[in-house]
Amino acid sequence: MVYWHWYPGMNDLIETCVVIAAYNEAPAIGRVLGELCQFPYRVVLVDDGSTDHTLKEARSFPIIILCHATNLGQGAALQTGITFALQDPTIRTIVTFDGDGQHDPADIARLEEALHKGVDVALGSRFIQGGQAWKIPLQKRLALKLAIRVTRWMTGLPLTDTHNGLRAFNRSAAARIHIRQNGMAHASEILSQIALLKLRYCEVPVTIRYTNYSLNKGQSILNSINILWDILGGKIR
Amino acid sequence: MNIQFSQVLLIAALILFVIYIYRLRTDFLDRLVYLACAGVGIVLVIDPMVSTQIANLLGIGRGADLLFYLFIVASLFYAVATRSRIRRMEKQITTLVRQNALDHPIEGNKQK
Repeated sequence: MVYWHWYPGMNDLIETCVVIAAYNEAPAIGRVLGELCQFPYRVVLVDDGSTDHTLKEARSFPIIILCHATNLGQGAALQTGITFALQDPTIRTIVTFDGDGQHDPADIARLEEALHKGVDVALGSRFIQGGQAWKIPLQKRLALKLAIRVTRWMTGLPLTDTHNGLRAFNRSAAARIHIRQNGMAHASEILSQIALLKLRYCEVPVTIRYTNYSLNKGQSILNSINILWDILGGKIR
Repeated sequence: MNIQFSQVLLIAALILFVIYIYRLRTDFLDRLVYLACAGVGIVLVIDPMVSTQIANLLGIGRGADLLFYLFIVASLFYAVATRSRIRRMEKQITTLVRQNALDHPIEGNKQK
């Protein structure tokens, strides 16, 4: 089951698949895909039960779209996209990318480079030397710092940025990681599994472009309680 | 602060409860717990004084207090059992929705 034939001539060269989870991203998704399609990547967009025009916007780009019949959450959408990408044996690298326009597609090349150097997972970081975050509001900064502390403590990984949606996995790492947290807790879950599976990882500086749109879509401090709840609840047998 | 035997026991029960929900839970054990609750209920209906006797043994004044404490643990137990069932259903829905999405990929516009 391979669906990439419409990428004429380039089919066998493109070994990187970018997975985007999108839920009601109609105002932003066109620009995101427009930028991304300038780069030689195969793109899978998972429309996570959007009720706006996300699907209509996305259809005008040379990508594959998978539609969740109902909204499951970002974690579930990413897992669907990763599962789909793995069905194609020529895909060697899988990248997760946010649908709200906060990531810069030019950073993906640096993640790939890190994978070529021998790590299993390359994690984008806005706080590491060389990383950037435009106009990061104070309360967002505090929430992130707290999340980083908690996640470092829970996973034991000494990371500088734990909730960055831009990551790259090599094929075997992507196949071994299973996202079971449907909601936003998947970010911590991926890190837990990296620690558990003893995958080799590194952090790569990336740029986060905060816009009013992405800030409104993003996670608030209050929601971090929900995320913590999900993490604990996910462990109940 | 004076720590009483009953307090140690209650705290131990709550810790056991947490271990139970994170480590030991199975449907079979859940049902055993339900049966045990029903059994205790029957005994208490037949001889209500039993609860006071047990309470006194544990260092709790009244049987009604003991029942109240047990009720709290039991409702926690029920909440967890229900939550775990909902979680299982969520997993099933996720599997279904994901399979459906994977089975019907949509190709975007090739020209652009």
